[in-house]
Amino acid sequence: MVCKLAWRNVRRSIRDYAIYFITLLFGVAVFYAFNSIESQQVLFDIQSQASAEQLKTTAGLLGLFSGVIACVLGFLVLYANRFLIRRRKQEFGIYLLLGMKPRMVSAIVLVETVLVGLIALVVGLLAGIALSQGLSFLTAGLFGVVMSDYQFVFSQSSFVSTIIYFGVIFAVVALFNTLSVSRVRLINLLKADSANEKTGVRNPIVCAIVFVVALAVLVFAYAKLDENNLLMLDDPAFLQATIAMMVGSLLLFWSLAGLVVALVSRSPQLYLRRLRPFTLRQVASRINTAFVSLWAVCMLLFFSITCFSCGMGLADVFSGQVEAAAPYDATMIANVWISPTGSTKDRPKDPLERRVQMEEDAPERLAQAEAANWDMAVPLQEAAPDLWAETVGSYGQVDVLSTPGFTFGDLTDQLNAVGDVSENVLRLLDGRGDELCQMVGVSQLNSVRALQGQDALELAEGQWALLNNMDALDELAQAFAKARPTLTIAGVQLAGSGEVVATQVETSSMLSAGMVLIVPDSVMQATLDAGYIPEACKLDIMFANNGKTAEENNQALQQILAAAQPADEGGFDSSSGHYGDEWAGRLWPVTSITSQEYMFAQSRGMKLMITYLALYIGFVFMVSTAAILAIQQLSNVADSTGRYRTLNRLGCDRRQMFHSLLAQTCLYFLAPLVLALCHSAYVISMLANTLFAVTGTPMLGPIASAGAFLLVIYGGYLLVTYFTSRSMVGGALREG
Amino acid sequence: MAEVFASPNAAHMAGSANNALSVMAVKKVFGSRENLTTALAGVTFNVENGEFMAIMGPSGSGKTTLLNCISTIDRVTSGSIVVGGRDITSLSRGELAKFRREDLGFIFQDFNLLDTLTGYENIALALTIKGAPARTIPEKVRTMARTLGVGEVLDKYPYQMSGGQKQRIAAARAMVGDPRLILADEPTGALDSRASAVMLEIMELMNRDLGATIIMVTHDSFAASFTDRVLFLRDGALFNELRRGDSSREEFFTRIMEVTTFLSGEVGHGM
Repeated sequence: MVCKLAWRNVRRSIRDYAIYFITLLFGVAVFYAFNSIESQQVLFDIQSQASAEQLKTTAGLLGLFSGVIACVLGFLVLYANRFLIRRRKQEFGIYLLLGMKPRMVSAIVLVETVLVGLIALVVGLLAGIALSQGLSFLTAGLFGVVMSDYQFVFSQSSFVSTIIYFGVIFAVVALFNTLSVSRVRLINLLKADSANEKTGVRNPIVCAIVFVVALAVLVFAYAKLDENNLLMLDDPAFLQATIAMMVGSLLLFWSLAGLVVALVSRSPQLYLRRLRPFTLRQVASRINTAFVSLWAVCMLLFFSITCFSCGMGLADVFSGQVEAAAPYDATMIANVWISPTGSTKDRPKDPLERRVQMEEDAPERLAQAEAANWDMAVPLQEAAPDLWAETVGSYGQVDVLSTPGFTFGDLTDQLNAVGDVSENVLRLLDGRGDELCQMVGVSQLNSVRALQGQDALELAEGQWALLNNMDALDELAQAFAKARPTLTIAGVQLAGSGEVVATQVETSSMLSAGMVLIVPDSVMQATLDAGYIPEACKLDIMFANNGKTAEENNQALQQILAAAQPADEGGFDSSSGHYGDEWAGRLWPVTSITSQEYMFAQSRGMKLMITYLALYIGFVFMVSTAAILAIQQLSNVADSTGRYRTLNRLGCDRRQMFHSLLAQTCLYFLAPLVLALCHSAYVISMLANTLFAVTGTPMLGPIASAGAFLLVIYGGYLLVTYFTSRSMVGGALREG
Repeated sequence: MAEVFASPNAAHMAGSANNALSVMAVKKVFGSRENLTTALAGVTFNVENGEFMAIMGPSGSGKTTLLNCISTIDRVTSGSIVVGGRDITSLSRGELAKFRREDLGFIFQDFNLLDTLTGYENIALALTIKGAPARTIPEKVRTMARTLGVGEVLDKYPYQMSGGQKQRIAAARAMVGDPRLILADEPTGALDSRASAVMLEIMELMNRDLGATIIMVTHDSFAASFTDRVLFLRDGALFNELRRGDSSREEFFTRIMEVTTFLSGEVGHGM
């Protein structure tokens, strides 16, 4: 009988359950779909190990976030249930009054909860499976691969974890419901309907004062954010801004309703039209009692919108730079000798000390390097001459040396002497005062410029230029080059040529040449002669036109390395940067290798990861907030059916009532949205000025897609809420 | 009691132009095929403009059903109800709403004020839903509230008012739109005796000084004694009619009591 009663109840209150059910369904579907990403790789002909690994990382991270998402959804389900139960207290009271045992009533509620949960889970999983098929096309698009052979994907692991997560959520909800029903008193159950909260409006003067305070706090928050520039999140200004923003928003919601009603009711022309007084009071009393949850909704929306649009922008940042950051097919890097432990922290103050240490710890490497005059190609070519000739089309090497006797502190002094450099720019050099600057030789630089098809840089003897392609350092570099101080390096006086060159000297994921001096070859040679060893040697390689794929050529490079420095050799290095198993990373000639193919795959993976995270979090948060608003609004309508009956008796026609309902729904949904949009717009414009402008990422696309996303989900919930409340009121009018 | 007017009367049927309301042979049957309950078994009467009339009867006599039919909240099974020369039983839903807001004013037993609105707004609502011009509203509301003695509580919410104040706000709401007919359903039912007396005097004032036509359903003989005429309903049909004429309120009250005592005695026997 319990089951029959429960089933009948669910069917009868399908309208109450609709929003809850749909949200649950969305939650399950999205949860499954995003957790099934790993299984999608069977679809793609992923040739490279690199891409497969990226997909795995993304899946792992999404899995990690699923815990958070599950918590949000769990909270939502609990919240929604509390409302549904509260609305039906009278019904439960009647069961008890008729002599049903409390255990029995609890059992009915339990069966109902499980029933709805079960249906949502089944339908949600089906929808999720369908959604994940669509998602695999998106994955393919983001990865830039063609789906070679479409097949149906089913992820067993995601299926199981979805069931477990939601099983736990439903179990908690069922427990909670059962408890809440069994613990209340009969009299309260029966009187639940008439226990009406006082619906007064707050004192308008107090509201006005609080409103002004709220605005002031928000202005303070915005100013603090401006100060922080959203660059450093551990800055106290950021913390202050966050707290001020939260407090300000809360105060705003607290005071908003009272103030608006007080202001609008001053003007009869505006106020005394149709159901306007009624509409406004309905919303105001709602906001007055639910301002905390509206505030929470606003904050979540703010987070969701910002997360979504910035996430999309960030994805572009990561993928946008990679073309310029990885101009060579491959780069082999020798981190010659940093310190006895290999950590930059233990780097000796005196650069000459490095040589002494290396002589002690790795004499073979030093001997080999000096014999080849630090030319990395020499030992590699020797180890596998045929494979080298077949694989390597052209190459160039750049050695990076410490600049003898010229530190960043000196550089700061030079800039201060000129005087017209802003504090902000100089701040970038804080804490690096006694670090030596770096320099490269002009012919080596020209050799890699040639690989990229760039013109050779003309640099006269006795001159220096500057190498920089990092946007963050651009202003500093321009200022320093323009100041043209005369520098004394390795005993040679160099005049500034005033030129800043932007050349990427290695294949990497980001533009990585920052404030490096370009000096004549004679200065480099003199420095080496003085006993300096390079900090790093970078050998940039373009593959020969041999008809092989990039992956095959990369494997050939690995084989060359394996011949030059086999994995089982051991004993030389304090370095750790190798990712192949066949060869050992050494201090010289090769510590590590990067390839364009890998960097591209990595950036695509990054883009995939960020896009999916933004979609996943943005979607779940937005759906949750919209659902909370919808449930609140519907329960409000349910509580006010008596008022609509009165209106009906007074001769108010349905059109006016529905119009009022629409206005109420819109106002209620828009109040938190507008504030969230203000916050988001401010934060996004700030990020656009700092992060995105620096990296040259247009924000219009991400903002537009966030807007579309918002319109569909939030707008959809708004419409469903409106039509549901319309039919609720229509039903109430028919009854009475 | 000999004065029985239970059958339709040709003179009444004609319905002169002076009638605010003509109820003609109205029947109302509830229930489904097997289980029919006749709530109104053909009721006919007229209410003249400016009249203050009470409908009395024991529980289940059909008086509330009759009021619901007149107020168009319920539909008649047969018969017609004419207000202002128009048969309202054949109006569409939209026209009914328009009729209610244009031609009727309501006073309910449980006030039916909107608890989210102030007294002022509750009264103004009767005008705003009609689409009355906004600038004329404040003046009308204040005048009406002052006349009915609730000018002081206009800015309060219903939960801050006494029962009598709430009912007078409701009366002001019913009056302010200047309706043809005011329908009051047990207006003193939820009030103590002092507040009842005040309320009834207010209704007398509305009728006498403001010219309102009022139909009041009540089971309280004291309340009925404030009116010009009392109709008695029993088992869905008119049973008796008393006119006050020139008699004092006290005399009228005694006459009403006689009928109600008779009626309740009869009901008591029936049980």
